Amino acid sequence: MTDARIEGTPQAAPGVITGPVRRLAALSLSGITLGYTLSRVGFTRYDEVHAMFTFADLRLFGVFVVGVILTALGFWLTEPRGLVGKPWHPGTIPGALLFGLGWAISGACPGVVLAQLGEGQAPALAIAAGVIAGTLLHRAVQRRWLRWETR
Amino acid sequence: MSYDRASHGMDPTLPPPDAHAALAPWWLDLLALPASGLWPFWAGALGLAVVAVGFPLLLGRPFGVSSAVGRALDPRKELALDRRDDEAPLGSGMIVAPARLPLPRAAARARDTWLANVVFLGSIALGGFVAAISSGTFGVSSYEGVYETLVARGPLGLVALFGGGLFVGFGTQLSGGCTSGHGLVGCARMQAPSIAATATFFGTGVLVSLLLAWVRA
Repeated sequence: MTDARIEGTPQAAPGVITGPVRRLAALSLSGITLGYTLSRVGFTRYDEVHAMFTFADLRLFGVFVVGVILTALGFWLTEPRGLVGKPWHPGTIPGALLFGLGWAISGACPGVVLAQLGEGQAPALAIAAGVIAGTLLHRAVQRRWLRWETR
Repeated sequence: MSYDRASHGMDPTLPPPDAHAALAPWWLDLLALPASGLWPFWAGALGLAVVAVGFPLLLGRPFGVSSAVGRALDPRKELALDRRDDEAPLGSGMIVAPARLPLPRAAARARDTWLANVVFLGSIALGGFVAAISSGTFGVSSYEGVYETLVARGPLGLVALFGGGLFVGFGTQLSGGCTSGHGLVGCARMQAPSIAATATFFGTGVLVSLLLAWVRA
């Protein structure tokens, strides 16, 4: 038990923002940049996402793949602290399968739904209701039957 | 009004909209703004990378949208953790007993309050709002035309969107990440579980979309 307490000590890495108001500002800035980018690049448009998945237009694949490469480059250059990897667990692959199915049908991933709502796309309300219901359903299922940590 | 790819000159079967395009070198197309007015791929990639790299530098924890969604929708647990953190704020180095709460490994990392997660999610919507207002597309739906042809129109189309959202919500929570956490960050760090999850959700997206296009064409 004592070991668990020491492990649970909240300890900030050097350079990381600790003030609650400044953290809010940094979170807002990240969110606005993400939403603006997703919208301007067309990840919030069903037609564009479908064109990506059917290989009719590889531009959005390019956004993702080059985004990963630039992110890797950025991590290598700046070496940010606090990047905890996600563990393997029995839900990793089944969850990704369900997410891929939902993404193909709705054209939206969790960040995209929010940007769509901001864009005033009324049908995104139905997707958002689905995402909320799915998240709550997963929590109920996990607490009742599943025995692993997902995040 | 909907986003019609053909009327934007995006249909690959149509000839290029102006004759000069044929004279330009092929790579210029990659750098230029698409005819639809959307950003070219490199600008979007840069925007995503700025967030994925800047987020942990500023906040000391990995960037991920679905984990914020999970926390925002679990106010009871998160507000209880907020009260625990109030006793030993981030950076104080104080050791506190986890009170009555079990302290999972994940909660030991730098975390933000329930409200901060809600603000983060709201600001993604704000970013979409700014983009739509500045490009004059506010209130324009992309769920007409292609979506109605492929999936369904009217109330049935909305039911399908709800169902799709249900799979997205359940799947991302079960998998423990989405396009941001598994896709951008996990793949950039070459984490095996994240690469496998990303290959799976992109692969499933491709298969289901090709199937939809094949069945409904």
